Amino acid sequence: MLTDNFKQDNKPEITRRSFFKILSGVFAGFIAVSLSFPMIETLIGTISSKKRGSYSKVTSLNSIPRDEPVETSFVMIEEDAFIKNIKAQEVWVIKKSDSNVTVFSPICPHLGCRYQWNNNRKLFICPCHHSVFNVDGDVVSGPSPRPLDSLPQKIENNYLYVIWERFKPGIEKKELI
Amino acid sequence: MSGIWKWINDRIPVAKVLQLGLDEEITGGASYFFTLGSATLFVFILQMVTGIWQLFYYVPTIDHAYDSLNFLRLFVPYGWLIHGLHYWGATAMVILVGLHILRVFIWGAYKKPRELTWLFGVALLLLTIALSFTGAALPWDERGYWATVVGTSIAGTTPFIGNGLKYLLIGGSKIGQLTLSRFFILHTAIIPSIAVIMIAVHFAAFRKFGSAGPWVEEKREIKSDFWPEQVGKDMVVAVLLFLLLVTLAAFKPPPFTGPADPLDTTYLPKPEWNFLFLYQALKFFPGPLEKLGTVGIPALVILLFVSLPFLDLKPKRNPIKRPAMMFGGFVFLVLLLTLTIQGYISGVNKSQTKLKTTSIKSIKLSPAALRGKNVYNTYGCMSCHTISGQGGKVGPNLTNESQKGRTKQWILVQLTNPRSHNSKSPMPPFSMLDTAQLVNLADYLLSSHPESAVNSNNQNSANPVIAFNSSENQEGNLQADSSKPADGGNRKNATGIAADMIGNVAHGTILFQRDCESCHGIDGKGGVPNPGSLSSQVPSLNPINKNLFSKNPKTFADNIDRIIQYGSVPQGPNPQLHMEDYGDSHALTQQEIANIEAYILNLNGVNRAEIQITSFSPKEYYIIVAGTFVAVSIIFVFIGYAKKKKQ
Repeated sequence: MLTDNFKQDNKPEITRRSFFKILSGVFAGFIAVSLSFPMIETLIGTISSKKRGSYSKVTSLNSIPRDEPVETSFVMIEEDAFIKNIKAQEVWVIKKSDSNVTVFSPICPHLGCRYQWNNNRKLFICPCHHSVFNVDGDVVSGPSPRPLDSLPQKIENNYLYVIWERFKPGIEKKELI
Repeated sequence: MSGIWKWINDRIPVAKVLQLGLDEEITGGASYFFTLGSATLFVFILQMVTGIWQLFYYVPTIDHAYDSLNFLRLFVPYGWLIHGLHYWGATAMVILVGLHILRVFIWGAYKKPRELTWLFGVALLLLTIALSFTGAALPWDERGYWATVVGTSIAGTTPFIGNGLKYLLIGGSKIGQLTLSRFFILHTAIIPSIAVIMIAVHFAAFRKFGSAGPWVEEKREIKSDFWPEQVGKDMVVAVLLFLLLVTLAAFKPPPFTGPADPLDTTYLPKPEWNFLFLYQALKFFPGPLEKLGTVGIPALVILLFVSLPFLDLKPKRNPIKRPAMMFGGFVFLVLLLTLTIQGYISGVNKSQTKLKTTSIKSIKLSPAALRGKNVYNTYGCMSCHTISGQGGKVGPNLTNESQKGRTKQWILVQLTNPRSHNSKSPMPPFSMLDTAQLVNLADYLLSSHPESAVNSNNQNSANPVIAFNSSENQEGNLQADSSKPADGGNRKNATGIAADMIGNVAHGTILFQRDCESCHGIDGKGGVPNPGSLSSQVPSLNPINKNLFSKNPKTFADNIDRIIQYGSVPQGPNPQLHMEDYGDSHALTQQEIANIEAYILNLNGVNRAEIQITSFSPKEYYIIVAGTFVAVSIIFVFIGYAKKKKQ
């Protein structure tokens, strides 16, 4: 029977049968395209989206001495798609006044080691390659291509909030990872 | 082309398989009446495709199911479409299966030799219902969770095997992770596999005897081919169904009912629409007769369906010549529809009264009593005791404690050691409360309360009047926050989770009225005095401080979440009121906080469940798809018209 159908379709004129065939094909194609495009988008669309983190509560400013860098640990929520992980993180906090606070990422912008504060020399010194920064984060000496990375922060009700971010090490520009 | 076709068919019999599926004569000619089966099949395939696609994102764990689904719906391009199609497709499946069965019933197409085709059809109806039931649980939202609670309880009333069946279904004695795992595997693997096999058998049986066709002999003379005439009509129905589902997905997205919260007592469980008839019917079987309803009704319905081809043995198929059958079917249908509509309406009324009764306004409470009210609400006193007609009936009504001659001391003893007044008291000692909380709670209980919610709904109480008395005891010092560890970093695990959950606005309204309204005012409009604070008023949330506001729902939720979780003390010399740390103190669950956040965002014109994608919006996608369809249809209508003219 199918072979019969094919024979009939060879007529140039549109028959009732071929009309239904074209109709079926076009509608099936319409559904397939309307659905497959979103389905592909569903899979590739999420991969590229990069989201900025949100503020985490770090500490009360009362507990931070003035003009002296303090390494402060806090708990942040790390986002991976819909999974949120509670993670401990550290930052350097320098309080100049109750409204003027600088927060540095503890990661050396040179190659990603953890630097330390030398209280005698009043300098940040990275043990790996001896990058040295002053209290404002500026490079004093050593191989670091850029100053210490400051993090976005705000003060509310005398509490410090920080957005945890990571930057590419080893380059002059401060660029988010 | 034909060369490749031949090459393939020399090796695998594609043409033969196609022939088996398509090569058939339709008795009585192709008809739109005969499209219901194929329409069901189309939606079933759509369900499989969208269902599998959802699995790229969905995870069946109770802590992440809700968030993962919402991530798909709001953050993944076209996630709204995939989920929306699946959600509405499920509804369409039930309706189409029902219509298909109705059509077969009216046409008398279940008669010899098609009895087994009918039975497999009935089995497929049951599988569709099972899919609908198990699928509803998977989002692990309020609706799904409570539907599961009710559904498995119904299964538990089955005589003899009830308890075992319930235990097996929910994976133990408590609904939780194992329940979700079981429902997940049933919904995504076991039931669909059985359904696919049954569909194949149903289809094969249908092919063996062909369609029953019309009952009038003359009409049976007309014949037309399944392919392409019936298939063409099937495709027209399929494409219209597809468009309908896209429309629903774009403009009527499934509700965000809030994350499942087993501790929640404010949610009114209501089954899916397709179970409403049973829900309503059960109301006619009170007390000991309940089993008759929960098990008896479904069993009877299934028995009727299964025995139908064996009850109605005469070969005649014309509905007019089968008046008894038609009447029976009609009564069944009317009963089904009436119960469904009744069930639908009854639920709506209940939720409305719920909203009304929760809008009680506190009258003339001192700040200490206000804090006591907070303690009362957050420590679950309400679940056993009633004040102003609201609350549980386990313990005595506490509306008129002062008139009963109770003293503060008596209440303090009662709270810390309930058995000292009545050795059989089931009340637990509230020794976890500190002195300030106890005193505040006693103050609240000794304050005057309106008799009932309705009485207090007069003009005066429309605006809460809060009398402040500076000589009020200050034991519950408002600066309590400073006694907390200065290091705010030591956070409990759950905090901050709420900001990422999509809450439910209606539910948030109820919670807001219960916990927030006394300070933030009706609808969060503020106006409540807070002496000693810099602004001398509790901040308005409607509109909210512009530093907290954001058009981005996630940012907005983050901003207010911090305050709800950790609390805050207003600036000023000696603020009388301060914001409690509802999250840290576990006064509210994270789910409840999420619902309240959705409500506060809604007050400020921000939809917590707004789609956050850069791709086409639902409306844009709809315009493109519907526009293309209209254009294509116009061309077909034009060709069809031209063809007719030629003839």
